[in-house]
Order: sequence, then C-alpha cells, then structure tokens
Amino acid sequence: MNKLWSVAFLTFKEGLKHRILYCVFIVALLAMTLSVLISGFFMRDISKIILDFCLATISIGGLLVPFFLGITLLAGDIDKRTVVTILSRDISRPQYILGKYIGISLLTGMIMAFFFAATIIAIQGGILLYGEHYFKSYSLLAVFSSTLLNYFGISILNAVVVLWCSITTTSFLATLLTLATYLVGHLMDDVVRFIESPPPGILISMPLQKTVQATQYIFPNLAAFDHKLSAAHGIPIPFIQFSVLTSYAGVYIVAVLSLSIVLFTRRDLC
Amino acid sequence: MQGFFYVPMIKIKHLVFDNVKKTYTADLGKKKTALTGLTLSVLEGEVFGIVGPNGAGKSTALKILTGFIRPSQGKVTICGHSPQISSSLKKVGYLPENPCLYEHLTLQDHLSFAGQLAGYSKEKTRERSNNLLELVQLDKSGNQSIRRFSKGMTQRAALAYALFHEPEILILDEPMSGLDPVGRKLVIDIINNYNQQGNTVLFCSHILTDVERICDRIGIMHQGQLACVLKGEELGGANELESIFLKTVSMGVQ
Amino acid sequence: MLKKFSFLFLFCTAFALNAVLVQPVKEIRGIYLQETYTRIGTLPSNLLQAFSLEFQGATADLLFLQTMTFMGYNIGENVLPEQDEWQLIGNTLDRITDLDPRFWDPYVFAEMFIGWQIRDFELVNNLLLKASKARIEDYRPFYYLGFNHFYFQKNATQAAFFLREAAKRPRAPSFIKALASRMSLYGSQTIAGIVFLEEMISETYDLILKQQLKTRLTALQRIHELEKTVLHYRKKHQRLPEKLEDLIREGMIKNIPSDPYGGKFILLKNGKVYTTSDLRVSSEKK
Repeated sequence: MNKLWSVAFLTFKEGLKHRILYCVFIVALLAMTLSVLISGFFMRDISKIILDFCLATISIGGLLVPFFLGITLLAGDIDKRTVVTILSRDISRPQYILGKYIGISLLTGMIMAFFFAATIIAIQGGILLYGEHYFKSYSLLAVFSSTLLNYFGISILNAVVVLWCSITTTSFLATLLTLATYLVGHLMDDVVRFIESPPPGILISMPLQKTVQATQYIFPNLAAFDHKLSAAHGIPIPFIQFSVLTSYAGVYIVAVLSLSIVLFTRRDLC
Repeated sequence: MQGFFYVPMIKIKHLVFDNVKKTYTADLGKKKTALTGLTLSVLEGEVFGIVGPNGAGKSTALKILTGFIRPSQGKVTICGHSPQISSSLKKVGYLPENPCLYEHLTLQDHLSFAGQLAGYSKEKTRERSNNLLELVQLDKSGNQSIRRFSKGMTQRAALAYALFHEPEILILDEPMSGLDPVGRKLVIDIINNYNQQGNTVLFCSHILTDVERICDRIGIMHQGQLACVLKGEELGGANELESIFLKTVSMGVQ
Repeated sequence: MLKKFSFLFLFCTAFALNAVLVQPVKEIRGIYLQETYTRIGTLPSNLLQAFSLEFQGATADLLFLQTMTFMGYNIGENVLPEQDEWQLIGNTLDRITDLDPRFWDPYVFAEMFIGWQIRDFELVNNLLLKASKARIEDYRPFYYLGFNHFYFQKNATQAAFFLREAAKRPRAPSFIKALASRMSLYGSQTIAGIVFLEEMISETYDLILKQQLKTRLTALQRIHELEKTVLHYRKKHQRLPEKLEDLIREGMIKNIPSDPYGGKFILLKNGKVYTTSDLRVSSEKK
C-alpha cells in the first residue's frame, strides 16, 4: 500500500512539473473571468451563462489529464523507458499500474478542485457585478454534484487511458484511441436510443442493431455523467441517480484497470 | 589464502540463467532471436563481467534478469526466486543502459522516492542521500532537474539511485558509457569498493580494459550464448582479453 | 549582423501589413458570417447536440450570443432584418432551445422581437409551449402565452386558460390572477401591456434591450394617459371626443405627446387610442 502511494505521489509530482499545466491554468482563469464579463451581454440568465462557461472550463481542464498529461505520464513512461526507474525496484506491475492511476486521478482532482473554486469565485464576482437578482437559480449543491460526476466521468476516461497505454507502444496511438473512446462514450447513448426506436420509415437491420447495442456494454456511457446543463439551471441531481452513476463509474474503472493489469503484466517492456 | 589451504567453499549462486532462450516477434511477424540458450551463474560476492559484440544479447539477458522481459524458455532466478516476483528485486540495484530518470524531477526527488520504497525514515533518507550525492560527486546538483544534467551526470545520478537501497546485488548495463576518464575511474572505484563489502556485481560492457581491471570472472557472449568464461587472475598480459575476445567472436560458437 | 536586422525589418513590415489587412479580412468574414449563421438554423437538432458533446450549455450560449450580434447592430440603428432573416432567427432560436430547453433568454428574445415586433405568434407560441414543458415550475411561459393571446391575438378564452395555468405556479405574482378575471374588459389591455413590460424590464440586464423595452413602455404609458383623459372627457361630456385635439381644446392636456416610434396617436371610435406606428420600429429596410 505504501509503495502504491509512493508511485502515485511520484506521478503526481512529475505531472505538476509539466509546463502545459500552468499555461492551461492561466488560460482557464482568463476564460472564467471573461465568462463573467460576457454574461452581461445576455438578458437575464446571467448565472446560467457564467456556470455554462465555467463548468465547461472545469470539464476541459479535467479532460486535459486523460488527453495530454495522462498520456505523457503513462505512454511516455514506457516510451522513454523511465518506467525502468520504478520497476527496477520491488514494485510489482499491478502496483505500478494502480499507483500511476491514482497519481493521474489525484492530478485530475487537483485541477478540477482548483477550477471549481475559481467557478465559485466567478459566481461571487457575478453577484457583485450584476446583483443577486440574476442569481436566484444558483445552487452550490447542484454545481458541486455535477462537478463530482464530471470528475467520475473523467476518471473512467483516465482508466481507459491506462488500458490503452498498457497495450500500445506509442503515445500517438494511445491519444487516438482515447479520443475515440471519448467520442464513442458521448455519442453512443444517443445512437443506441436512435437504433432502438428509429423514426418511422427508417429500417435498421438486425445485425446492425445488435452490434450497436453491444457497444454499450463495452464502452463507457460518458454522456450520462454530463449534468452541466441542469447544474447551470440550479437543479441538483437526485441522490439515487447520483449513487447509481457513482457505482457504475466505480465498477467500470475496476474492470478496466484489472484488464490493464492482466495485459501489462504479460508485456515485455523496453 | 585459498591458495594455501584449499577448502572447497560452497558459494551460493546469486544469479542463475538456466538455458534461457528469448525470441522476439519483430515487425511483420518476423522472429528475431536474442538469446539461444544462455546458461550462467554468478556467485555471491563476485564481480562478473559480460562482454560481447553488439547484438550478442547482453542487454536482453540483464533485462530478463530484472524482470522487464520474460524468457521464452528456460529459467532465471535471483537468490532462488523468479524476477517476475517483485519482492525478489528488493536486494537488487539496476543501472539500465540508457539511464531513464524522470526528466522533470530532481535527483533528490528520485532518492526520496527510493527511500520511501525501501521504507527508510526521513532522517535516514536524508543521510543516505547526502552520502550518495557526495560519492557520485553530484552534491551540488541534487536539486536540479535531471533535464539539466549532462550525459555523464545522468549516468552517475542513475548509479546513485541504483545504490540507494543498499542492494546486495548490483546489475549494471554499460556503466561506463558516456563517462570521461575521471568518471570512469569514479565508477570503477565505486564498484570495487562495493564489492569489497561482500556484495555481488554483474555488469556488461564494451570497454575491455575496464572489465579486465575489476572482474573476478568474465563471460564472453556471442550470438545469444555464453561462449566462454575466463577468470580474472588467469589474464596476465596486456590485451590478452582482447585477443581472446576477437578469437571467440571470429570463430563463432562451436 | 545585417541579416539579423533584415529579418527584424521584415517582421515589422509584415506586421504592419497585417494590421492593414485586418479590416478587409473582417469584412470578408462578415459576408460569410450570415451564411454560417444560416447554416446553423438548418442543422438538425440532434446533430447539433452530437457536435456539442458535453458542452451543450456553452454551445447554446454562444449560438444565442451570435443571434444577438446578428440582431444587435440592427437594433442600434433602428433597422430591421428582412422577413426571411426573421425565419432564420426563429429557426436558430428553436435549435438553441433544443440544446438547452431551460435557457430562458431565447424565449424572451422571441417574445420581444418576433412577438412584439413581427407579430409572428405561431412561432413565438410554439417556442413558449416548449418553455412551459421545460420550465415546469416557472409561471412566465404560461404568462407570456396568456399575454400574447390576450393582448395581440385577442383570444380571451385561450388567454384565460394560460393565465390560470400561470397563476398556479409557485411564486406567480398575484396580478396574474387579477388579470385572468378582468380580461373581459377590453380597456385593461393597455394596463396589461404596461404591467408586462415593467416585469420584463425589471428582469433584464442588457442595457440596449432594456432601453428598447423602456421606449415601448413609454409609448404604452402615453397611450394609457391619453385613454384615461378620454374617459375623463366622457364622464364630463357624456360623449367621446371626436379627435384627440378636442382634449387640448378642453384644457385637459397641454399637447398630444409624441410616439417614440415616430407614429401618430389617433383616437378610435371606441375610445381607444391607436398609433400609426403600431408600436413597431418603422420598417426601414437595410
């Protein structure tokens, strides 16, 4: 357990030293400030506008980890053979995979927590600037639970990154596969619904229907973790739904990480 | 001493290769053989050097020994355990061919990570770090990112990292590459000193003179096998190793 | 040395040229801006939703911002978009509210411009019905629907139905109930308009739009004043004045106020005051 945390902490520390992180922090903070100012162009849904942009920024900030940092920290680790530094010690490969995953999850959590705090400040700034009248629908609980669900969704994606990086040899391929997973994860649900009840006049062949339906058991349903819209309108997600989604994320992450461990332990490194 | 009173001492075999074969699947499904039945054992407390031409399988052998690669056939053990079990690496320090430290972290970061893994207290970690930094003459660069290190500095830094947890077995892949004569002398001194404390060293190198200077036994590898093993004291004259080496390689195995 | 400076010089020249070209490039983009905007309105909603991934809220906001930019300068210059452009705006508002059905601004925008200005109530009422489904707790969609039926479409039965629905919602102001019962009185129309605009103004932040609403309110208030004076005249003389000028002659008003929309106030046979501008921005075409 101790070793797990050592690896996680090393990964976290390495992630923090990447300069891209600081660029993004600055850009994101600018975007959030701008969102407060832009919201003044709108007529009355000012709190919604600020939250829309801020929650989108939180999401993008979080997605930065699976798409860039996570890939660098995992695929780069194997690419540049820095993995030797860790695995030449008495650290087993499962410990390595889990430690790395915890490390990038911590990184994601830190980035999103930082942006969440910035969002709260942006809202306070908006209240100061435009008056409380336009912030009647603002609900901290809704914003918090949506951000938490967003974090769980990105954690799933992080686990998928671990899987792709433990199979592929190049960062580029891992990025591509992660992007594909992200897109499928967001669009799959709509496509499945469309296939299951097609509009009249459209015939869908049985094999296609079965294939599409099968994808939802393989790929993660990331769209289900997107509650930014209702959060921006101040509607918190019911607790039951929240817990079902949380368990789904937990189960999916455990499954993906287990598979990664199985594949990674069989792999020749270097 | 042993010369006068010849007592057959049973030395423990620390590292054992038993008919190890390794075949890679290269691009387009072509098979590439790196090891064709390596049998070798390194005894406790000795310095064993592996020499061999490029592509002889030296690095592959060391990677199998540290568990990064699984052998296709045969058995490898470290103190009787398979390297695939991570705890058997507890007593092993490994210096890879191209030192692979994290560029963005400092040497101090690496050493404190090693300290955490070894279960050292903070005090002990600090003390050991300071000693090692002094030993590899990097005491002024401990807080610099590895990225700013020169090749030689990185090599020495990686050596410090490999030595941190006071391993009983040291496995070094080309420890002298990229070092100037001063650095080479430093590394040789470290290895010698380390061996005098009763520890085992296995390393491979291109530089035959260095190997001659420090090894108890020398194995010449060729085409994925051990061609012959020489004892350090048997090599008397200058360049003797080189002539044997060249002869072995030109003859081929068997 | 020379080389170093020559590149610096090249940079300066190129940068200066770039600055010169910014405006022409902007103009070219301006030509195509409308085309892009047109295309958004023709995209199927589900495709738009798919494109915006998990950023539907922000996409809706940006599209709406674009719509307002499209309108904004026109408002400032008292120029109105063409009929087909209104159709376009209507389409885009529909897409925006598909992306985020609870987004209230587009509905208000539709009410203010497509409703008050263009009087295309089929479009507006459809949008408002969508709003009433998405914002179940909100009284405003039904209130607006009721208002449109009452004030513009003169369909008292429908209006009463919608206003009663609105009054049922939590936090509905009490005047809605009163409005629903008093609706048979034709005279309350102007007051209803004033109340409606006052409520809109109080909730609008955007300064230009607020000014728009205030102009409209001023016009309605002037009509209301005139109608009140006409009632006063009738009480005194037991008959309606023939023209508004009669009121001046009687000394009841000093002069006939001007219509901020540039029209002329006319007294109708039933005692109501009408303006030739019909409270719309005069349809100067671009």
